[in-house]
Amino acid sequence: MNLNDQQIMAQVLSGRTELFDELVRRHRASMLRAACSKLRNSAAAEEAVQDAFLNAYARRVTFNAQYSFRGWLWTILLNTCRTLARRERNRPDQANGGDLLYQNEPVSNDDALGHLLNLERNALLAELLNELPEPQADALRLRFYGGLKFEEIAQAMNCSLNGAKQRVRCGLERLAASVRRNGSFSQDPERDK
Amino acid sequence: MLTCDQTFDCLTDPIHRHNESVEQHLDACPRCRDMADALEPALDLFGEVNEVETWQLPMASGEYELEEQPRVDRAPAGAAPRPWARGYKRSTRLHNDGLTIAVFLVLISTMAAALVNVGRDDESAAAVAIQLPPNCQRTEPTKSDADNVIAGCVACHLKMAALADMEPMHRQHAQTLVNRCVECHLEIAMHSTDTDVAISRTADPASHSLLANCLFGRGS
Repeated sequence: MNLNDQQIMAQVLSGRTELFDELVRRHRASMLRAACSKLRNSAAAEEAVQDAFLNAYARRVTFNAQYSFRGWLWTILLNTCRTLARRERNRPDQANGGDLLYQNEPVSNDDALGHLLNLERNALLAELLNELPEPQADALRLRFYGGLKFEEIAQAMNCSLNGAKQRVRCGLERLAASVRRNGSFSQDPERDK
Repeated sequence: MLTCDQTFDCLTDPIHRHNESVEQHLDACPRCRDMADALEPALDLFGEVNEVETWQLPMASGEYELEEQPRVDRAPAGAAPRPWARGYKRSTRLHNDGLTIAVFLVLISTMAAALVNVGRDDESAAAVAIQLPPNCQRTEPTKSDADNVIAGCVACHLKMAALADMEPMHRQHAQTLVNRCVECHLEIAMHSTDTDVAISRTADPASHSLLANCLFGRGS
């Protein structure tokens, strides 16, 4: 489909609601990654992404075509994640962690070590992001998981363009410092020996 | 040549991070070079994770059923359908909410139907349960039809009402219906001057007997 997000959303608003499928297909993977990183639980992340899409669909008339669709959608996702995280924190019997990110089983023995390294990388990144102040961590998630432009990040986080850049920059500096403290991870097992 | 601001944009964009124009700027700008070096571990980590996850994440494209996926135990069967992502499971919470709403609506509609029927008398409720023959459904019966209609009621329904072993409920229904037929059509017939003649013309003596049974509420 050659239509961009804004055009699809215009069609959805005019009654062709089945086109919302396409928006889900385009954005679900990146949103799921960000939600996994934020909630550190893939089941909760799945629920957050579904809720975000449901909310976006239910409140589609509130979408303002003057602004970016991605900024609007990711705002909904961040709010949904916050709500869900608050709910999970208030549930005392909730098991914590252990299910950080989606990982398929390795397809062969050769992939096994790479698979373990990926798991470690995901776990490390999620952990380090959660150590950052929330605005910086969210800005990094929007930038690197969502691929949002700084204008869209500013819209989603309700801050200025310079504020969005500052959050990403400060977040990256802190994250880099943390990575140095925790040691490096490489995708090539030979390089780590 | 890129500005420092544009260079930062490119550095944090996985696609443009290693562009030639970025390298040119970094070679010419020590401040940006220092920044790029400082941020490199974090940028590398994001790059590696994004690269790996692109092919690992499952997608609900609507072209498959999630029941076939290994994560099916996270959602119940028969989840509420969504207008998008066909075949994709909704969470347990929403499914339960939907079920609760459905049960609630059924209860409400049952109670509403019961309330509507409260004002009806038993006779009309019983008559509704029985399908009237075509002759009985005429809205404007004429005097000339009266005899035939009564004969039809007697021939059909009074026989049922006269059966001693009929279920009490069915018998009551049949008698109620016949009573209404007889009352209506006999009234039309009695408006004529030769009422006796009209009644005497209703079929045969057996029908008269059955009619009497009905009118006086007796079985055969």
